[in-house]
Order: sequence, then structure tokens, then C-alpha cells
Amino acid sequence: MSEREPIERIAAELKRPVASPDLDRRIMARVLAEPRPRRRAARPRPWLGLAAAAALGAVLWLGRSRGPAPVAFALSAPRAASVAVVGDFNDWNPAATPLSRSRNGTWEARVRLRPGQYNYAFVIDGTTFVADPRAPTVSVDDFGSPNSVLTVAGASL
Amino acid sequence: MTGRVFVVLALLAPATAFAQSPDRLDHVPAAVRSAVAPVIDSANAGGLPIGPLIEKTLEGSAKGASPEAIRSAVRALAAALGDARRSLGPASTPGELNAGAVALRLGAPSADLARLRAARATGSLVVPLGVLSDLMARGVPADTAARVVLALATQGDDQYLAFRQRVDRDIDLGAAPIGSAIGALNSSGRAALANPGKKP
Repeated sequence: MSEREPIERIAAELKRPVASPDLDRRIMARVLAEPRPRRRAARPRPWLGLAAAAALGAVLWLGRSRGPAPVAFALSAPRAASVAVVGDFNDWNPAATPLSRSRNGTWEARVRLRPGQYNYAFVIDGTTFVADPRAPTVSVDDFGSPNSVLTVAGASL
Repeated sequence: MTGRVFVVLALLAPATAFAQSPDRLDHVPAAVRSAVAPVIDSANAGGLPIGPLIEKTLEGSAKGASPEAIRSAVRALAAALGDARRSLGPASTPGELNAGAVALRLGAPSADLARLRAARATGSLVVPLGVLSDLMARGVPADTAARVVLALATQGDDQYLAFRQRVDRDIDLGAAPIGSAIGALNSSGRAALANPGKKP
């Protein structure tokens, strides 16, 4: 008996068609007997797209109006007690733009900004300044904690 | 009589930058205000935008920096704003000067800012300069970043946006920054050829 014979026998067995004529019926009966999983109703959350866009970096929001444009900021900080965004648009005031915590530990805020370029950073627990981790840190670090830069494009630049 | 003298003196008194925007620095410690006042007033007298200088003061104060450190940072920014105006021209908007100052402080060659102005004489440079800074921050060498931004100078802001998104995507997928910038430029060039109507 050659070494390949057992392998060939197994392969031939696996290739053999299933003989049971009621196999399909039995499988379907079993599937239909299983309880159906409950479906969650999907709620549209358009601001998530904005949050994702902000998280992708120094967002270049392209608008044609001269007015303020909505910009979303997001930071994942599950263990933080508070997070705020500070920048040129709110006079670096940590009380001006607090972020709200979502269920997965991501903090989010949405603000309306006029076209222009803004330095910004997040403040965690009122004391720790961090740049946006998902944005390129393009601001010069003057005070020991770098910033991110956001460019809001628009007709009035 | 005393009243008339007061009015005349008030009219003759030079308006300082602080007098123009006093409330934004209301919550800044007096020592910080004293430290930055001469720098901001000097910039204002020289025709530079003082908004970025006030914002730098507010940033330093929020971060607890010393008055000396804040004055040093404000002075460096004022110098960069002046350099940006020399490169971009005296008719540049405050937004362009601010974006130019950021790019220069990150290492952009000043000659390339002047070339960008010449190539895009009628359109705003805020978005192109923002993209230039982003590229350098992403690790693209300054000369390559400037060359790429210059190559798109005749395109609109939306082309810059699309270009930057391509670079981000490629870098996030693991491509080298310089290769991503050049590859995205080639894609943008093809898109521009297919849609030549877009202007700055």
C-alpha cells in the first residue's frame, strides 16, 4: 500500500455526493426552528460623519457660504472625567466648549466656525492639553504641548 | 475748558492694539498683559494682524506659561507674520499671513510662498498654505511639499481638499509620505485635466 492511498481514499469520500435526499429539508427545518435574532432599529446619526471627518485630521471643510460652518471634534478618552476643546475660536477658554461623552468613551462636540485657520487642542480633566491624536500636529509647540490646526475653507477666505 | 482739553488729548492719543481689543485679554494675568503689550502694539503699528498674537497670548495663559515664555512666543509669531507678509505681499489678507506664518515656522521655504502667490495671484492662499503645513506635518519634506502645492496652484480649493484626502488615505494605508504626496499629485493632475473648469 502506497503512502498516498489513505489520503486518496479520504479525498474520494469527501468528494462523494451526499446521498440523503431530505438533507435540505432537514436543515431548513432546523434553521426555521431557531429563534430569530432581534434587530436593532438603526437611528440615523449624521453628526457621526462629521465627527469622523474631524477625527481624520485638520479638516478642510469646503463650503461656499460666507457664514459659519459646522465642524465636529471627537476624542476617544474612556477614562477622562471631562474633555473640552480649546482654540483660537473660543479664546482658549476650557469652559467654553465642553465635549459630551458617548457610550463608547468617545467625547464629541460640534461648533460652527467661520472660514479660516485655527489652532486647537483638547483639555482632559481640566489640566492636560493634548493635540488631536488623529490630526497631523502642524502647530509649532511654543508652550510644551503641541496643537493641531484646523482649516475651514469657504468663500470668504 | 478742562473738558475741551481732555477731548483734544483723547483724540491725539494713539490707539493701541490693546485699546482696540481690550476684552479678549481681560482674563489674562496683568503680568502677561504687560509682557506682551509692547510686542502687540509694535506689530499693530507695523500693520500686522494682531488677532493671531492675542490668540497666542491666550493659549500661553491657558497653558500656564510664564509671562516671559508667552512674550517670547508672541514675538516669534510676530516675526513669522512679518516674514509671511514679505513673502506673500502687502496685500495679503490676515488669514493668509497667519497661514503663511504657520507654514514658515514649520520650515517652508519663504521663496516658495512667494512663488505660490505669483502662481495664484487672484485666489486665496489660506487653503493651499494649510495643505502645505499639513504635508510637512505628515512627514513630507518641505521642498517636496512646496513643489506639490505649487503644482496645484491653478486649481480650486476643492482640488486641494481632494488631494489632501488622497495623501491622508495613502499614508494611513502605509505608504511613505513623500510617495503619497507625489502619487496624489498625479491623481489630482489627471482629475484636473478631466475637469479643467475649476478655478481658485
